Amino acid sequence: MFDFFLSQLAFYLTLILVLFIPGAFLIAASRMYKKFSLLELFVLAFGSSIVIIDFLVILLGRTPFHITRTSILGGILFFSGACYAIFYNYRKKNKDAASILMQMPEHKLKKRPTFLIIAILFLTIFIKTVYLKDAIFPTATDLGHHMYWTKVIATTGQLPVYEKADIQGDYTISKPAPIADFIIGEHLPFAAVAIVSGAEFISSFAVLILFLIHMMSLLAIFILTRAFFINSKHQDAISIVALFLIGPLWAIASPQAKFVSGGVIGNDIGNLLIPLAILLFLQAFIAKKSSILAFALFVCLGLAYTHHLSTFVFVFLSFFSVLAYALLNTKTVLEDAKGWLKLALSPAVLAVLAMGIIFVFFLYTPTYLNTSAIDTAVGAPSKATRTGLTLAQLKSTAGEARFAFAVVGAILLFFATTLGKYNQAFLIGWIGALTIMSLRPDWLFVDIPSNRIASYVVFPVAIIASYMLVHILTMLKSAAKNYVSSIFLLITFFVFVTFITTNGLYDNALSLNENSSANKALQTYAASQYLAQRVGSGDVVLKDHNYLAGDAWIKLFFMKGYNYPLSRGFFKRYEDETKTREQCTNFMISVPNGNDAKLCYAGTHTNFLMINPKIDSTQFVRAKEFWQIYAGDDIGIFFKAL
Amino acid sequence: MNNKLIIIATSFFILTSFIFLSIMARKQADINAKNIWMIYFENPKDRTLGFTIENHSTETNFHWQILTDKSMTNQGDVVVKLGEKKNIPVSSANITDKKITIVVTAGENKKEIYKSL
Repeated sequence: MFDFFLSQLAFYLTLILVLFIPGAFLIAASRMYKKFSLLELFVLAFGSSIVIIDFLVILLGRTPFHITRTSILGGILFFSGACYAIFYNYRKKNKDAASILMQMPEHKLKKRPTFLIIAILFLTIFIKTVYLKDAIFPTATDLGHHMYWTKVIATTGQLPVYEKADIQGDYTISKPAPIADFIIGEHLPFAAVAIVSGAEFISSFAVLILFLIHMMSLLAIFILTRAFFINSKHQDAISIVALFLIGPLWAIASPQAKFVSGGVIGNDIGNLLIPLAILLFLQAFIAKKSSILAFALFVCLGLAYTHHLSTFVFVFLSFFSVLAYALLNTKTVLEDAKGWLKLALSPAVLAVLAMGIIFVFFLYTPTYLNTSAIDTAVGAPSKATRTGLTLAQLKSTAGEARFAFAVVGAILLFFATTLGKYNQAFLIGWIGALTIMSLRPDWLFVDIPSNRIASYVVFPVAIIASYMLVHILTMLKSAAKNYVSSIFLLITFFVFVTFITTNGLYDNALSLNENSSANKALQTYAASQYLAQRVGSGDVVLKDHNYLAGDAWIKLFFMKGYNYPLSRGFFKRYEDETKTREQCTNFMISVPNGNDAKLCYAGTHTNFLMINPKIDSTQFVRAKEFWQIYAGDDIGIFFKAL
Repeated sequence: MNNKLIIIATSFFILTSFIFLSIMARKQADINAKNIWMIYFENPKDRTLGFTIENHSTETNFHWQILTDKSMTNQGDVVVKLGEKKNIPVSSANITDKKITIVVTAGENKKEIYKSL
């Protein structure tokens, strides 16, 4: 119990040190505290810490210090110290004696809204915790893949080389070749926390970090909504409704708690950094502050080092926002563009751009910045899953009730000139880009699974739906003073609330887990531990992805490469019409005595097989050359002896 | 202001949730609470037949049998407590061209492993 207490303490202190302190010091050095409220700074400190840790660990990986506990702690200390020196120097020069808190702009909320916000946050965390309690044990496939690379960083102290070996046409295993599926920013913060805190990889630490990132992304949506509607007298109401629509309602389905337990790291971080980047750009243009623009670009750089799809989405929403701005402000756009250029040519912005160029070209180029990866994402949709969703599918992804209000709200936005021209343009650009990318990707030459893009739509939909909902209710309220009965207003309010709440809670109920898969996964891990202690350099293991629980985590026991053990994937993957897929991993388990399988065994030298004995043991028991060497309830291991 | 209150409340809720989830994860990771057991050869690749019973179940009495092809050649009982492993040495001397199966039963549950020597 004492060990548990110590590990918990180490973990929470590490979270503060790695995921809060660097950002807080950067905020002090860049004097962001003069432009943002405490809550905004709290979220910004967290988001920017993720970015800082990414670049700090990349730098350490390129130095003789390597990535170790001492070097990370030293790096954070050095960075924070340097930021503090800048901050101290500025205050001394400007005789700035007022405390930071005194200099923050006041965005006061009244007592009742504050308690409402806290109640919504409590409900949000409660619902997600209830869901996560059965999904907290690490079994998710994506998370297993990500934790492999995280463990590579932690155990080698080096930046990972993303590559894997595949089975070739001549049945042999190729030399490892680069892969573009992973991006380093998805692993560095987790590696830093694991290294500093000493957290075990087969533990809840990764899901907890993702949960924290997710909660911060909800707060980011809340503060962004407040920023969007700063000129509205209903700012509080709209932002609280937005928090309600994005917090406790639709709390589990993608991209919410399911992405947390599923280990969809890139999307989760993207869902935090995108709203933060929009907030920073919005404030930079409104306040005409180059330091905020530089901060925004820094966050975007972090996004680009973390997740290609989120970056892609951000590029499109930026383009659409500029387009929306130009269309809505035809008379002033050219003059405004000169102002943007002036901001962009400031030393702070140029310094961030220079940093980006140095990192991309000299220190670490993100894996997706190669021709084949770009070709895969750009162009005419190549598969049925990439040709766009139907309106019904988009409605289901966004949440029916939210979608209904957002559709009307999006139209209303075009006439909402009082919101502020940048606020209006960003909102229209955000929802416009995601709607077209989801429904008609061919118009934009986007070749990415449409449902993945659509998962981003829930955030702008929630914001615009809350705007619409508050707008309707306030309209009715003012009408009630004249010719609409106040009873009618009350009924309308309750109808709307009931419609939205039941829809959101029903979605939660549908998404709740049946049972934890920890029992079966633990058997997989025990068998993996057994085998990892006994395989030699010439042994090759093949495991099944279809019927084994937590199988993606098996590679963490071997640490012999991303594709070790080999894996029989989902059966549909072997029937891909768009390209030839290797069949060996399927043949070697499904028909081990077949001629093709024999060639595969000979070529790949596979001699250990991890399968579910309830499904796949018969074909091995019949074959004389296989020995069953391990028997558990839900996992069996066979050895090919001849 | 209330910004502070929101931050403090959120941090408290998150911390409480994390501690709860960590306790849940710890419980779920306890293999001894899963009522499972497994058997395996100590040396999977060679001709030796020594095997291990690893017990994470409430059963403690295990009965094992050695079958040569299909006839039983040896058997015994062993007590393996919860969370323990017990290695049972089996000689493979003078066995050729035979399938040796180890069958272990505990209560209603039966598992087997084998080698063809």
